Amino acid sequence: MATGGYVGKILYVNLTDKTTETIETSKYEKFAGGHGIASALFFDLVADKQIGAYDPDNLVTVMSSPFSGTLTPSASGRTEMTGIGSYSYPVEWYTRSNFGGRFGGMMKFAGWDGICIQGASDTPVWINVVNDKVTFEDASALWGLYTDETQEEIWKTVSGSPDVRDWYHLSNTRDGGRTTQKPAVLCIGPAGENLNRNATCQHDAGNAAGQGGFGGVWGSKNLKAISVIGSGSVPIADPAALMDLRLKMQKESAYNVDAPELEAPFPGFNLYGIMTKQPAYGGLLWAPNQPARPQGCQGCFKCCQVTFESGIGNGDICTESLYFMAATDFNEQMKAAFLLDQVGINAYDVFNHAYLYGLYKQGILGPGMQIESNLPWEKYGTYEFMDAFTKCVAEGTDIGADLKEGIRRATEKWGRWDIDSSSGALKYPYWGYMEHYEPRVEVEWAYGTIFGERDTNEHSFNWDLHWMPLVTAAIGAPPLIPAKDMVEIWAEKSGIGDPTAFDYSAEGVYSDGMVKVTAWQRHHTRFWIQSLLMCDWAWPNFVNYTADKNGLSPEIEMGLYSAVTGNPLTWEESIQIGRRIWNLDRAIWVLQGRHRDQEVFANYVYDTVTEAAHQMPMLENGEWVYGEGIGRNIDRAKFEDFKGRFYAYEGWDSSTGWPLRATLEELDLADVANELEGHGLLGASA
Amino acid sequence: MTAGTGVSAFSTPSKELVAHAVRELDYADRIVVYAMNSAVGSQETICYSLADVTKTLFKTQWSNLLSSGTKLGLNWVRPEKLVAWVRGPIGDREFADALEQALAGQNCYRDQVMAMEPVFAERLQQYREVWEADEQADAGRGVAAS
Repeated sequence: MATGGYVGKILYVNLTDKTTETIETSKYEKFAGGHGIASALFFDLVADKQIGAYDPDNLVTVMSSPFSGTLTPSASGRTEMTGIGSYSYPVEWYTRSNFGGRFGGMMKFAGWDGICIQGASDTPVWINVVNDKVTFEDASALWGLYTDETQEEIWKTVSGSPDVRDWYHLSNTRDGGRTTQKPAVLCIGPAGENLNRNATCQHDAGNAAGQGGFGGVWGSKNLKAISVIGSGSVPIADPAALMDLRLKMQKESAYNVDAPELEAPFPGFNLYGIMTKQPAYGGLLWAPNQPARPQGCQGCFKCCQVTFESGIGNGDICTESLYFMAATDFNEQMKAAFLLDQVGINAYDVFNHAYLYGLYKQGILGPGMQIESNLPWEKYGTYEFMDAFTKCVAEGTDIGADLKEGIRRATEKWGRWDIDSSSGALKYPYWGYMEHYEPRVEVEWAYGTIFGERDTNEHSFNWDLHWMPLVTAAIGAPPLIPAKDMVEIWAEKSGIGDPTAFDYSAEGVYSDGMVKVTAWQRHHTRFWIQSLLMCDWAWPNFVNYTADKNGLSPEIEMGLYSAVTGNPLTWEESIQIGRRIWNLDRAIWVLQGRHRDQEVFANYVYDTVTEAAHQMPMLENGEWVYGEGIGRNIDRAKFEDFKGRFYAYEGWDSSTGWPLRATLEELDLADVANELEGHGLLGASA
Repeated sequence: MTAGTGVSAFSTPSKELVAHAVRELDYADRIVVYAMNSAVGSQETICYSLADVTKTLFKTQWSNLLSSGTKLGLNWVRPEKLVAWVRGPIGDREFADALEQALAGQNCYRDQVMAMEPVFAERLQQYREVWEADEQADAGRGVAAS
């Protein structure tokens, strides 16, 4: 049993009758933390897994990890959310999302490893957690407010004022605890209140649980916000060892302020920034038009976000910062990103405004057209349009009445899905989620998504195997690490062993090696990224561009885990726990109705070919190169064959994709096997 | 014309050619530029005019690519496709020929884009001059703008 990392209890909230209970975290330690514990809680507490996302019995969990609130580098500030999400299509899968900031750490300072919420309130509420004290507060006055306004109002209510920089006493007793911190608030905006499937839960500035649709799920529960504040701390098994490893990571991997030339390995061209992540490298600092400073998640030394003097666009580092790419005025681009935060909408779903403008250009959408819309389409490309479009989706007006259901369902209703997802005009290849990285070339991303339930959104392979060769090729420089060396590093450090597994050539993407790569990533990320909540923009650190190519992973992860929890752990054990969590999730999806036949991509993935260069390592004529992958599609028959081999490798029934009893029992999931068997959903043979 | 020298060998375009070239195109004549960003991968930026292409393609800041953040990324189009688009829907063969000439011998994408940029600037400046001269002539003749 761990001696550090956990604070020992999980808060269970029943919103229907406004009661709470305490669950001992130790009961779930075999699932590590974060996503793993959340999935186990869902499995235990939701009797009928086939309920819809907006059913009151849906259990939404907000989980920290053993690393949350500690000085574990780039692993302290993320928080995991799980539950049945409303976004995915055709089934509202049990799903996940996570967000940066400081919520998970503050939750632990208050004494809670996680909060799980079931039931639904009959009136708007917010939950106020101050150390051990949990109260249900009337949210009527907050209903309708933007997310930034909501947080400020709650800060005022809990600690007196959002502007006070003073000690806040958490109780009236002398030893009741005090802090200078603001409460950490997770809340929904108008989109969540309107039950949008694309609604987010927002925290601080620019942090969102975006994918999955949890904002709408909270709206269905009449839950506006959860606020946590605490004065406790997190036990660390070996604080000195943790500090040594943090400093080692910082010294060997972080931006070196004393050697800025490392940022510019090629004359006149900076490359390393995105890899060493100098503070504030993020989304909106491309043209700092005002005073700004780096901003980071709790305990992170990389600080990839930016805080601006204007307060507009703070923390908007990710997709939302690109929502209004056509802007010629940076202030307007920031404003558009900020508006998404305020109303609480997932940028990935509303990137489709360019597609919608295409329908307008074709005379399909607009005033009096087949798809009626009176938005100012003639002003497309201006902030005026973006403002009107964003608000119509949030409020469910004009075409927002359809778009609040997500673009997948909207296009189905309009009769456009089959046409436009086949031509590639609309690229939402899996479960209604937007194409993220090229599914016909960077296949582990696409395979992981279709065998899962949402855009995996894991950048672990992506930096080393795609971006470095893409950028160096674009400027005519040799790759910083040749393809042969790169795949050897990845094969050795991941534990996969065989470098040819990383062959992304036209045939390699269907290989048995790619089966292993796809499975390895599902297992790796389920443990280290989603349950230990290490940031996928930083971990794993397999490659170090500033030293001898060898990054600090995987050894440093085991050291960090041991230093925080007091438990020894091997790399193989960690991947096996990840496999346990992945199989638990798989079982939940099977109970929801998952079958092999559903795991197919949108037509364009099979029927159209890639046009843009997408560098990845490929074996061509026996030589390793970074190939472009132009002219690629996924072959249906070959993918179906790949699917069967993937199932067999995972220990699932190759005809259905359902886990076998032996697989689940090997993973200490006999109770899960029993439930599947009870429903007639246990795999029969590999 | 020699790319990057600012020395133009373009003939002066007619006002009809300019009007045709700078118009907003129909959906079928669009060209896609891929905005490659770390956060979102390769997203399609759909361009319906020369102005859209110019704004999208040449805003890549090569000296600061990636380092400055995800917004910049890399805006990518296959150069041969762009040349064909200028020759086809835009309808300016001379412009397309000049682009083709500028691209010859360029070995990487950055150099290709940097070679095309002055050609774009030169030709669009000519368009502007023809357009303004025509407007002034109209004003001199007392033609009301419609």
